[in-house]
Amino acid sequence: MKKILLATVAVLMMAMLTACSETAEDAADTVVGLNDKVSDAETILGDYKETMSNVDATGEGTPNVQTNNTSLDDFVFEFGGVTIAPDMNTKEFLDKLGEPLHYYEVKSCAFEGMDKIYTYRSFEVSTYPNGTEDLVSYIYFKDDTVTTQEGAYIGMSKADVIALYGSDYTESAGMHVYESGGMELRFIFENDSVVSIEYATTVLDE
Amino acid sequence: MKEKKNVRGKIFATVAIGLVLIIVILGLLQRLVMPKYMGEVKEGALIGEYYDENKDFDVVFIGDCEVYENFVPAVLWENYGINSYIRGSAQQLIWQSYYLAEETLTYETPDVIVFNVLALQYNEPQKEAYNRMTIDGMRWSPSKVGSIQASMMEDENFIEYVFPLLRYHDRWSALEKEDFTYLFGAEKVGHNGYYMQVGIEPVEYIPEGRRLGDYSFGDNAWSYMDKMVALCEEKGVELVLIKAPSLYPEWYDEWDVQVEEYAAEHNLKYINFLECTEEIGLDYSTDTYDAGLHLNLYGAVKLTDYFGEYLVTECGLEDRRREEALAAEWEVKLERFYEQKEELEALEEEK
Repeated sequence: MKKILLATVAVLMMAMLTACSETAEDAADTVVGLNDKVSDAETILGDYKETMSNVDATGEGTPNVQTNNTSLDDFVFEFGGVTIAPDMNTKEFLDKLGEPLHYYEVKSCAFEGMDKIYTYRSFEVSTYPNGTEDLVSYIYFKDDTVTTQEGAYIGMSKADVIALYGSDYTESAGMHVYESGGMELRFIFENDSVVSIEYATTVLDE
Repeated sequence: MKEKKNVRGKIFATVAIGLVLIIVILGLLQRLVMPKYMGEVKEGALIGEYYDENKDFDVVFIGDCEVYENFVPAVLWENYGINSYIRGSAQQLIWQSYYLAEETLTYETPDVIVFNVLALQYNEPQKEAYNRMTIDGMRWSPSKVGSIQASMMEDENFIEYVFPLLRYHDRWSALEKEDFTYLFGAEKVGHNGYYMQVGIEPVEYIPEGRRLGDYSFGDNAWSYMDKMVALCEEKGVELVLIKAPSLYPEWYDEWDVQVEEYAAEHNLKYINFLECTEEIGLDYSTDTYDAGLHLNLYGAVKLTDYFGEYLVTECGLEDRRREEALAAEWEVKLERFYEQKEELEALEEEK
């Protein structure tokens, strides 16, 4: 009897600790969404980051959370021949853009990594941490001297934007949102005229 | 016959012992694999520390990092004799604040509850990561259940809050020394909920806030604001709304107007400290440790002193420094407070 009990305890323990059942994997994926958001993992566990990565990867080591999930078929921003897109690694374009006018970095409430904001004359690029690298979270137009690759700019009429991008948009929080791949192109209108344009990743919203 | 009974008795005893053994082992394993928040991210430990207190506070702050990094209960005590506590946690959402207030009021009835309104910007659950840092530290109560239900992301499961082992079990392969060191108890992180920072990183530039499509706070957020107001009214607690003087992220004028109107409609006090930084004496070249997001100790001391005077003059709070037991309690707390201040300052100097 005692042997049976001991065996039961042992089996239960093994099951609890090592079970990487579908449920467990789902739970791990769900909880922090590590595959997509390393910063969340850092938040929840801080110095347990590696541990949690293991949780997510079910023993396969620390996953590289998010590579560039934007292809050039998605909406991208071009400035001076440099292409920038949400979730793109900053290494791919920062040097080419030259010195920003301003640089700001913030360590959020409990994040280990830094969110970084590079402000250029006509646009702003913000990033989120992905391990040791930084990926673009949004590109925000500051004035009408820059345009989207398709030709939209601040001040353009709503009708012209719809003529450029079509009617396949959603309205969310007062914005017209065109979604493509893992990113969104967002327009805000006032009096039927564009007052704000931004490219944003959807990774951080998930 | 007797033998049969004996055998049954033995079987029953063995099964009972076995069950107890299983429960104890699983309980220990759960403690072992749960995050201890004793490394770089200590904020997750703050919520649980409240339960060790005597819970006789005049003022209880609730809210996000803008309360636990910007207000210093030690200053309220030293300068005004106000006994206060901060029930703050990282990105605390308004429904979590509500349930923390509700829970607090089952233990005690402070004169004032102070709520930082930045959380109104969130109308929906945001990240399980932050949920955990607020909720895991709460003791089981109807308020905790309510907080979990209001906070869960789509893919979260209630059962994983009940049995965190189900959530964290895979950490077994990467346990660290501190998981064992703090298995039966963590070190105290906060000073009555205040998380001390003494570094200095001046504000040189603050990015302009991005334009929003809709500046209205969401219905869900407002509904919890209403509940908080009703709760405080019912318990006879004065609710004071504040916006801490953090320069980033942006606190939009459009947001401020909504809070002002709400406060006026509900006869609440509302102070936007961003509008009185000069009066407070804040110097953002020395009083912030992260370029404007949060104040460091030196800035927080100024802000708290300013607010202490407000609490005395506008809320009628009385000086309790002559209460011997409370004064003795604070003597111990202040000793630890100044010890940590010295330690952190020494570490800063070494940098």
